[in-house]
Amino acid sequence: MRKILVALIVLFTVLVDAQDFKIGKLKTDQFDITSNFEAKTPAFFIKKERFSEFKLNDWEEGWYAQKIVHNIIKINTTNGLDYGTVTINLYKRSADEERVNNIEGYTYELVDGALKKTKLDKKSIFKTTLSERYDQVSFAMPNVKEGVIVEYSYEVFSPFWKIDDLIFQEDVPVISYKAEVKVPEIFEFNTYYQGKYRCTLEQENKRKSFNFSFRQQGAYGTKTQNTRIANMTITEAVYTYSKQNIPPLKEEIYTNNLENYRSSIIFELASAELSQGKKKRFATSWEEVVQTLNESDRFGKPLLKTNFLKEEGQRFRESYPNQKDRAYSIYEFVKNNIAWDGKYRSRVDRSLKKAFESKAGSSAEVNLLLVALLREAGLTSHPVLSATKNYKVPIFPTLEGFNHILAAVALNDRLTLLDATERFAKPGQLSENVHNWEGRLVRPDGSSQKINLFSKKHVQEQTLVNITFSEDTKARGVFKKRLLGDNEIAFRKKFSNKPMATQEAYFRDQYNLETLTDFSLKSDLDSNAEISYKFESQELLEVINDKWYIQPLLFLKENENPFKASTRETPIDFKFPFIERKIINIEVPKTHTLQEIPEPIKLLMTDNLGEYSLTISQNQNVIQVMSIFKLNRTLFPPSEYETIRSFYTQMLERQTTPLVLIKK
Amino acid sequence: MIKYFSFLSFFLFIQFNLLSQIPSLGIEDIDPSLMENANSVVLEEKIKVEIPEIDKQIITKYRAVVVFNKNGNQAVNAYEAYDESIKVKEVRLSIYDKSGEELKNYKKRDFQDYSAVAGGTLYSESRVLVADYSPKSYPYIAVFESKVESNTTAFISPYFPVSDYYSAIINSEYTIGAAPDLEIKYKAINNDENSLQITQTENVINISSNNVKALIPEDLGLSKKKFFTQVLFGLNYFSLKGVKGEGKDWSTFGKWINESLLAGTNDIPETTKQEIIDLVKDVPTDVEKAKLVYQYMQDRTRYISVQVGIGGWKPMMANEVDELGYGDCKALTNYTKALMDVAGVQSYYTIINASNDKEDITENFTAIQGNHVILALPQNDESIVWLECTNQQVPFGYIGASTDDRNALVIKPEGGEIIKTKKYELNENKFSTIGTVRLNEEHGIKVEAQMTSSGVLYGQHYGLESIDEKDRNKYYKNYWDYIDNIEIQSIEVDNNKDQVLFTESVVFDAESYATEIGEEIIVPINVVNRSNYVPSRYKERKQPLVISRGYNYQDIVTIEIPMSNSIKFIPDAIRIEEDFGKYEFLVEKINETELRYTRYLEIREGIYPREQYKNYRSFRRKVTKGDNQKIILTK
Repeated sequence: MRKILVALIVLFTVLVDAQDFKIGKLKTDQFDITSNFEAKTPAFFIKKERFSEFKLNDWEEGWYAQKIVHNIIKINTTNGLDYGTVTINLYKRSADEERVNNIEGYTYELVDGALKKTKLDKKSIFKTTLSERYDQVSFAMPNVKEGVIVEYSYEVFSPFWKIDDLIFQEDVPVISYKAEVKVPEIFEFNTYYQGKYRCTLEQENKRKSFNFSFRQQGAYGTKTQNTRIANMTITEAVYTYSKQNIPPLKEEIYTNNLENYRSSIIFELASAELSQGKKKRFATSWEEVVQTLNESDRFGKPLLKTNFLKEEGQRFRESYPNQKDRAYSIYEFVKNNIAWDGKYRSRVDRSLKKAFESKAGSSAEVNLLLVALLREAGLTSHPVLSATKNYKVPIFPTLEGFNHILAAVALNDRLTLLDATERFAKPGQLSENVHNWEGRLVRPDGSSQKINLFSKKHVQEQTLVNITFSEDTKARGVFKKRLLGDNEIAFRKKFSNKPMATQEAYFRDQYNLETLTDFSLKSDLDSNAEISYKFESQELLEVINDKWYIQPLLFLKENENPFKASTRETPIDFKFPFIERKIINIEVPKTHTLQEIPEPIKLLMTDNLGEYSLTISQNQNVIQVMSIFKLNRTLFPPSEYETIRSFYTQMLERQTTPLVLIKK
Repeated sequence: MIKYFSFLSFFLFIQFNLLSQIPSLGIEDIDPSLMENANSVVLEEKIKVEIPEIDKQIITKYRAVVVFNKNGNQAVNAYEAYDESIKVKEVRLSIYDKSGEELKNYKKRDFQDYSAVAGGTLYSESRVLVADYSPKSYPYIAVFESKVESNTTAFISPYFPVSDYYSAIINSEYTIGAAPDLEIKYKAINNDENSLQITQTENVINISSNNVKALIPEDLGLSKKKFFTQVLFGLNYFSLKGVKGEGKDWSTFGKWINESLLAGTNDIPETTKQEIIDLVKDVPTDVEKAKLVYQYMQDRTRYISVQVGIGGWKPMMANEVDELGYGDCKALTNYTKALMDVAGVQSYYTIINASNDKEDITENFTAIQGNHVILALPQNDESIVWLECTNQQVPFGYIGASTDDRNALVIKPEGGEIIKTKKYELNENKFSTIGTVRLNEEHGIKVEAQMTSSGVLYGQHYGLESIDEKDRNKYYKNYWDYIDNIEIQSIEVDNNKDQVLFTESVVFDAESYATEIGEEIIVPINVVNRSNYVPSRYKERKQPLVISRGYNYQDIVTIEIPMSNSIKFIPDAIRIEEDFGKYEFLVEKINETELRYTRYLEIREGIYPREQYKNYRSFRRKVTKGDNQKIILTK
């Protein structure tokens, strides 16, 4: 019965709704439109349109979100043919699932000035179950080739109260974007911009009257099959967003997650008031976010049911009187006993007890267990909500902005952040993926605190090379490198447990060394990340016209300037602030000496953002080269691109000016 | 009759249910020599394949593997693929710690069910059951067991004792039995060292392999398929998703493909027929006709894959492709063939392996092979023009590195035939650079370079025609990544499809190219085509040196220096020749302000003994050194 009713409602909706756009009525003049951006762009959106609203057709079914998508796309080159294939992912959770309806599409072609139109056939539409949580509907437009225009529209019905992001920047140009979002007064949404571009917004309120069905209650509250129709009048806020000529988003180097920079508008449900006076708030301020979280069965409540950890906590309390030792051993204990299943979550999917017993869990489960055990052991610990780099930039008070939880523990009045999903981290070290904007520390009393998650500490790389050139121009030397800081995690991840031969081959190939011996690599947690080896090479000296030419940094010089593009759209992400120290001692035969000792160099970036120095000195037949590169920030806005680019250029120029040696 | 009985007894013998056996071997039983370079070691593997009827295949697997680190996780292979015709009856994964204590147990309901839709595929009914185990410590032992039943017997999974690099095995065994009238056959490949023990009794083949060390991938080595020991299996009488077939030899197999999979798929709507007839009506030769038809097809189709039922093997109807304008390789090739038929040009549907590694259809083993389909056009002189039908941009007759120079199965009306596809020879694979470099007083350069590519190299360059300005800029800045500060002034490309020549003309400036030290100015002479490639070094090279295709690169570049400078030093000429190639670099002084260098690099196709690998590395080092030579000017 329920199913039949749903089907009727869908039909009903279609009949009642006058579409705000026409499909299948394209005029030939649309073929005259060209993209102002790139002649060879694979495709461009002539029109990209979105219509979102909330509907109530049946009281028991409740409100649902309806989204209509309407796109008109010119296929400009054969590289753009994929724009004629569309996939729609649909979310489902228990009995609730999103559905697609009314897929309609046309391909237009100009044949000798006349418009030829082909309709999308039903048999070109496919539905696949991707996984437990997602279905996918896909369709391929007919007759797609260079020069055609495709137009399609479809509707998505969602029982989840959400408005999908308004994405108005694509990988190809968008000539005209328009979105109309209707929000009935019972809902409140917060909106946020992401990316470089902004839309113009018009807003008006409209009264709306509609019918919905409900089932009459029988005597004593029993349900009957009598379906009645009622009428409701509400006020709806109508937001119209528009923007013309949006340039495409393109991949750039030194970015973390390009999707974080795609211009779009994000909606977050703040509150819903389904019956008058009963307003349910979801999130508008941090206080409310924290309150919701603390009351949640998937966040705050599990932290109150930690009796099962009492004994364990007591054990640590007794074994480690010193708080720091205790915290660190608990951290190691959780890392070694609860396997992370590879999923980032900001809320648990089952009780902490279950996760503890199964010895595995999501990031939320692993780190809330850590918080719980630290608390049981008498330490002050709180969860910190965070968003990893491959997720998004958490820019507002929100529940959905986070995908991960860290544990913060107070030691000597200072907070130390712990992430037990990272096996290769020492206490207090966080991986690059976690160093992303700000996190939020949540206390049980309802208070919260902003936590800066960009690394403030410089990571360090120290390299020492002692090299000796013999008169036949061959060189042998010793290489030592040590990493200090959060960069050790990636190093350990890369080399830990790898066969020795693989490790050795990596370093031999890295600098193209002829032989490499006495190789040693430390990647265990008890020591600093270190590598050392002896090497031989014949490629480090060039004899031209009886003079010797040696690169001052040997194989340690930067090979190329990574910043080649003349312009920049997205911020530049260096992962960490860093200090790279390179010391090279070059011993040459007594028969040779530097033609001249180069002047020391010091380059400074404005506002103390970074510096580079190169100092060369000679003591008898040993030349010492010292190169220090320091960068004091992780993320640089595109406006600083030119500064960084020219800084690299200058640095590279100095690094590649060879030392010239002459016979005494 | 006797045969029948022995056959029955075989099945009584091998039928077993999954027992969730704990492996009899433990980590302590692994010989240290097997741990060398191993991310994982297979303790025990047993694969049994039973084919009691033409349309029934039951595969039972048991595999116990020790995983030593993260990279070894993939050796667990805890998944089974299925679709309408393949049923996963049982599947199980058990995880033990190093002392043999069970940590985790996945039953069928604990496996995740995913759609196996690959990129470029609009729809596929293929699905996969996967166990997602996240190890918290190493080593651990994974025991995977499964039982799968399929109604297709056209495909029998080949046996790879060692299935991947960095993985060793202690015991592995594969047993296969088939009803006698189906006529089972097998072929062992890359078994030069006789690492396989093979016994065949009646219709049962048993193969085992013990104590095999882990293999390491090597640069310029053989592809997995040409290097790993493997055994192929096939039946002379088989069934493919309900369609019965036979394949004693390529001729009958080809006939079967024609009759069962291709027949009746080539109808073309009348309007299209008329268009083709009009298109070729006054065209004198078949080649000219074929060119027009090929262009017609390219202009109105695109590649999209839809895999449903037998559709995975049978091409979509030609009239459907005509209507929708898309299809996969089978559909587009079959459509092109149907159009050629209308134009009166003979052509053959051709099955091939698409890969850069030149993988043959194994000639003396008739069974379903290949992963791609192209079209063959027989010429009067018995040569063949090969057409790739899934690409809208390639010139007529151009197949490039993905399908060149390998055995393909050509389906002629009278049956199948193995024919080798076009080979691109050294002389044809040419890349030439002609340039002018003007050095200015501030040590910057202005460069005009014209690069022409042909043969297989054409295939690596023609894509530049259809990318936008920004991406082109990026491409050239990376192409000349050893030059900093490049400012591109202009880029022009010319795609000559008739002669299959691609020409790029680029003009750019770069500041501070030369370095001034004291009175001297050092100028790296090779501005436009510098090779910095040296293949990896191996302590002990195991594989031969494999160069799959020959190439030649020719550069002639003029360098103009400022009037105020004089030439102090130019490098000596270099001339090196080895079995696998040749390198020449010559700098000449034309006058006081003009130099010219000519560079020639030739790489010759071949499989050279492994000792030559070292020499090849040394050759490439010399090339790098030669390409990085400098001239010295004085002020």
